Amino acid sequence: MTFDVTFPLVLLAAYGLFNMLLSAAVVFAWRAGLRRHMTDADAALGVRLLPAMGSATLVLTVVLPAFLLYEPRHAHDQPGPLLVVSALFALLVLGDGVRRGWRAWRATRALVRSAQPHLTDAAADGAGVTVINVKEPLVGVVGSWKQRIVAARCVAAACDHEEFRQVLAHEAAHMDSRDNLKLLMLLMMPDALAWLSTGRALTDYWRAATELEADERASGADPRKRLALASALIKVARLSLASGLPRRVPRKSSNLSGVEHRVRRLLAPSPAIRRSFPGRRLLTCALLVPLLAVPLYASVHRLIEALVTFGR
Amino acid sequence: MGDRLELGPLELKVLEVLWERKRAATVRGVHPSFPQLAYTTLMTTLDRLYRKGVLRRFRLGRAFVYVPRCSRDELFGQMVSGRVAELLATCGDSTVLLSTLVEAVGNADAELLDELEELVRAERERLKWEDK
Repeated sequence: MTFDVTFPLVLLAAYGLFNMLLSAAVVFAWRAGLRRHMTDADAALGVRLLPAMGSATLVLTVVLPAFLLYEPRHAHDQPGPLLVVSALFALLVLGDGVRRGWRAWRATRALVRSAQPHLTDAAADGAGVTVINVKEPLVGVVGSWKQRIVAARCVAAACDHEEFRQVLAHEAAHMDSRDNLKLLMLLMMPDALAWLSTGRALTDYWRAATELEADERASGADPRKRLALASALIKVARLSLASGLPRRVPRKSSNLSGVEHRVRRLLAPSPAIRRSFPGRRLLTCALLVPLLAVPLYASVHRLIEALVTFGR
Repeated sequence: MGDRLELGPLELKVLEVLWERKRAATVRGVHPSFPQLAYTTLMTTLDRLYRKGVLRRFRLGRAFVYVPRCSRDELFGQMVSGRVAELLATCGDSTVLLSTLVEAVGNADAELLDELEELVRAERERLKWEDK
């Protein structure tokens, strides 16, 4: 097999192997109690992104330069089964990521196309919210890039002025932290975690943590604001019950997002959100990997050779 | 599945049971979760869900086996999104509706909400008393 064929095959296989190893490491760490050490949404996000991002970083900054530097252009290699299986796995993982992205895009397109019949009021008030007439007590942020807060008229009617302001502040906090964009990233991550319950648990955990953080950012330490938001949550939950929407069954891993937990938390004195996740330190390490790997390129290339010929 | 999907309370309950089971089920398999319902009622409900495109079904001997076509989250998104599509149009954006407060507070029951409301009332009184 010529260099031109081996080259992409090696990159794919390396991505597949790293992805499998890092996904397994995340599953193992999660089951070993990693959740107890994660106190904020960024931590969950970082862990969930690790297999795909880590694999891509390692492939682009270590495997790629090592292969280009040390692999003779005229070499003809016969690929072993491990290389082929790993490359196929990587293709599967990447393809499934693209499929999920495509589905998201198609779902959105369908939404936009079926736009008109329910539009009864799209007036924005001072807080930049679009109020709509739907029976469901919808309050949320739509869009991941151009974001907009939407609220059902029934929610605006059920809440008093201060409560509704806090609801909007909560959604504004989601917008500020670009939670929708992050969720879209999570949904599209090309990794094996997407097929495992740990991946779903991490996403649920992240969603739950973003709700708590949005509550905290919206109301801060002001007990009146916290009270107003707690009261609004109860009202929205009541409307939600009455509307007959399908309800989430709380999972053990994400029960911190439940309305009870959130209301009790809001009625207690403001807990400072502990940011224990060493995100910056990890990012620094990730940036150092390519530099530290430079002297190891020859060894990395030997490993690549072993991967190419393994099982042949 | 159509964009304007409407499901009744019983249909939603049956779907919840199927989602919980995480595997295909026959009418007989689902029936123990609804002892108050007639077997035929449940059969009709599952058939209606199949016709609405929410369930897939396969023949197993003389019976049908039903399995949800999509997850709870996907269906929830579809049901709500059908009604908020206009907002995406006004946004001019091309991404999906991703998070809602309704979804976040959905796992509560009326009794729990009464209890929480009591706590809110007490806190309101406390703050009023502090103001005086």
